[in-house]
Amino acid sequence: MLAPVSYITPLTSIRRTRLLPIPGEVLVRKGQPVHPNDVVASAHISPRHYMLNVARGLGISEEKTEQYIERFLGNDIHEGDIIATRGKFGKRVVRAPVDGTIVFVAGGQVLIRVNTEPFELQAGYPGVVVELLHERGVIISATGALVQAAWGNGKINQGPLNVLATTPEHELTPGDLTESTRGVVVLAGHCKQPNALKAGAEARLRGLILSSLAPELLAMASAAPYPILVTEGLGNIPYNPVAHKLLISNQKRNVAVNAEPLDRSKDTRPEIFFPVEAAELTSAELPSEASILAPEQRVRITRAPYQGKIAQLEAILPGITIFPNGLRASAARVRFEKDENVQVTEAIVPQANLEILI
Amino acid sequence: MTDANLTATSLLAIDVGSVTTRAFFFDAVEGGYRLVAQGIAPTTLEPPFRDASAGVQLVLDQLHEITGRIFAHADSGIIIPTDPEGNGVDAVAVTLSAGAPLRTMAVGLLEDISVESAQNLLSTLYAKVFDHIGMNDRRKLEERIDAILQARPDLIVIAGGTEGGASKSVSKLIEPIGLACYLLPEHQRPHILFAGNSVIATEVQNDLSGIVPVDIAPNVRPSLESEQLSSAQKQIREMNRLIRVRDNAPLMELSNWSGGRMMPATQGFARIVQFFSKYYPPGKGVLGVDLGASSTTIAAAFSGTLNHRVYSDLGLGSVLPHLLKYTSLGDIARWTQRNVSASEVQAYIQQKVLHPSSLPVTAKDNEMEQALAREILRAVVRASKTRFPKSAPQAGRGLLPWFEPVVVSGSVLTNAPTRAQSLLMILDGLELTGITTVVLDQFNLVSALGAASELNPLLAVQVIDTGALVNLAVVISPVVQARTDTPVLRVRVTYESGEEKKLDLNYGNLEKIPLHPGEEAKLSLQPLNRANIGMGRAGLGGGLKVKGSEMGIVIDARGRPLHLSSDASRRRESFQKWLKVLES
Repeated sequence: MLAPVSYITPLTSIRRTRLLPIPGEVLVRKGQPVHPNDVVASAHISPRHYMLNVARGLGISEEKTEQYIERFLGNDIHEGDIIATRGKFGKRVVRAPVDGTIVFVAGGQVLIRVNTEPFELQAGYPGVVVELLHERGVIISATGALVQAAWGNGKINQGPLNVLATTPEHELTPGDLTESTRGVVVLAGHCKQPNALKAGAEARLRGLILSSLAPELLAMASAAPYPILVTEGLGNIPYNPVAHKLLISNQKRNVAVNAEPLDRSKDTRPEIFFPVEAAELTSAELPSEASILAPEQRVRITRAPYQGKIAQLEAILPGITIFPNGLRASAARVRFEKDENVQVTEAIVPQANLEILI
Repeated sequence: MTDANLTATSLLAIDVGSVTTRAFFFDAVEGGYRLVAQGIAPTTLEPPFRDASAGVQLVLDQLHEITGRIFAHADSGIIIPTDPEGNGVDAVAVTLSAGAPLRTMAVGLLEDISVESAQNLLSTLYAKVFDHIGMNDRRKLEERIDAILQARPDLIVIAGGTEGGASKSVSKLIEPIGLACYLLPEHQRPHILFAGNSVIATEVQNDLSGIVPVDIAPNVRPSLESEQLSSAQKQIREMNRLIRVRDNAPLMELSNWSGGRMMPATQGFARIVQFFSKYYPPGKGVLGVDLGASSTTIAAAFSGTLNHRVYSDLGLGSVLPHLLKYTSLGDIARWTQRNVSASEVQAYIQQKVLHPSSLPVTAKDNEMEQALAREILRAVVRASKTRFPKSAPQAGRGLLPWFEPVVVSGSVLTNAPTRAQSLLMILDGLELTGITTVVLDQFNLVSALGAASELNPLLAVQVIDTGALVNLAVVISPVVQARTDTPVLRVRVTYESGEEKKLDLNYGNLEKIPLHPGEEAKLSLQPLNRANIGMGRAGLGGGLKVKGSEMGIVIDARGRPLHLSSDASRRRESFQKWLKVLES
């Protein structure tokens, strides 16, 4: 069975496609090194237009208007610029009401695309631009440690990692976030206090990595002005030992936090990335993002009762297995890695509830 | 039904769903078409594969393992027709429900007439209507242009002008569309379907076709009183196919396998519902509900006239958070048999977003999954009830019309741990009325069968006849409001053996009367306390013959509309009691 792959790995090479939602302008060149906050492309995703009725302004019919128009299709204009003039004495003038570009002229009217603030696409990762996608974006290549998360609030930033979660079961309190955490990315555990998220904003965090988040804080976390990433999911879930070990081993190192939400159709997911300067891996070694389940793979269980637990896949069971709640599904037998929170050593789980961990 | 003159053609039906890809192989066996084999695999349309054919190849491999027949070669693709060695297949039908909903806009004259018809037409596709423009739209021309540019539609449906009616106003509506399309890069321009006043169809085509692809369909609103969506189905389906293939080039191969007839799965499902409504005696409608991972389809047909809608934001997969636009966390939690908090439901929803194909293993997760399914069904029924024809026979406003049968599809309903759980979800979610047979699409093949029926109608009939669908229960739901434990229905069952069973059903109870598949019985029903079971009027009863089914005869005397106790512990007690009755 095909299963999704999740990465918690100390060294890997990644290629990430960064795409504008609509065609726009690519602002970087191939081979250019970028930081996560660098703008690599921009586009006007909320266009605004102004229809200027020149005929009415000049007091003439639509058919006669064109000869008096002084600016043309594609011209950039500024507010107050003369668009059309008629007559020498008692002349009538039509001026541009806004800054913009003329995009259509016909029927005595001029359509102006108003200059608006463009949407700016950030690089999201510290790496090198390896490919330009005409009018759409770029592909960035980077090498380093990667932890893929479960949830993110859409923000992007980077900064040194400050570890508060020295144990996987850590719980974040407002008092944890003080002046000493200003301008850093904080690694905390579970968060259930709204004031802790508020304190994060006041401390101007560059990012907050959590193991889990209380569901009632979802809206607040989404609106937080800094990136928030949750590695395990909603509820009260401690870090899985593999991710925790990797994250705390990177204390003080610079970390890129790309909290883009998981969206399979757009191929985005929240990721924590610690860049390594010397990029050694080749494109041939780029890891896959889905694979066939097979014995001896390291897997993570995605649903209760072992949600978030890491195990080794021992065997794919033949046929259909009936679970205690009556569920009938293709199943696999897994053996849990040493984890004090897991009382059993083995379990049968639906294959659909496994992701391959690399 | 068998046919000695059957043309022995085999058919492969492939259904690419948002989470699961299924393949069904049908062939002629002993004078009739049968479902010979089926395969199931994850859908691979989205990243990292971006190519549905990987999932399709997996299901074809499974069919090969079962039948020994090779369906496709890696290099040359599907083998059509069957070759002398018995490999390949004679025809392929493809249905698709995977992929993001189409971005669409509806344009028409009057909001509640032609704009609504344009929206109704779009609601038969996996589509999201981002905006609509009507004659009374108060926005300036440039604001309407901006609205179109912001929506970035894949498809715009323009309706308006009854036959022989307005034509000038419709032409004016076209202006912002033409300008907006002109401003868009060529490869981003939407397809346009004009389904309005036929007098100006050519004019619309002339105005727009230099800028965007325009197709013309018969008027979906030929008069103020009548809406004819079916007349535009062929065109809208083709536009859907063109857009899907444009956005995902590997789908072209699948589309070619089906001879360019790739069908939205929802339309395949609706076709079968419509077929049933022609086959069953008139007087009642036929209802079909397909609860999927990324959408839910409801199709009701009355004497062959179809009323069909897809809710592309209601499903049990990654779209699940949208359910909260229709209901609350508390309303979802009330359907569980244990104390589940709103935040636990929220966490469950989020986990389903992350892992849409994952399955509930614990009893608590199972209850939450089924609670979500109930609320999705209820949301869909609530939103659809007002759209059923006013002439549809029913017990009263706000209630579901009388239906016979009700076809139910979707894994959560068809693959529940027990049939009793399936039925209780359906009863709680749909609140059926009167006497109806609940038919379960146990292999989730109805959509594929709908597409197959276009190529071979006999195949669909024969496959249904040979037990591909399961009769889950004959359900009798008196429409009545009464005090708890007041008798509302007197029932006498006479089995083929002559044995009789009599019982009085009290308000608030569920009862199950065994009648196994293959058996028949006579039912004599006498509504009490002015209960209405759809046999003419309130209080009127009668006799009827019923066939056996997996759950037999189930009488749902809990009242319509169904009221749950506001006391959590009493409510849970009721659930346990109802489930126990059905599982007995």
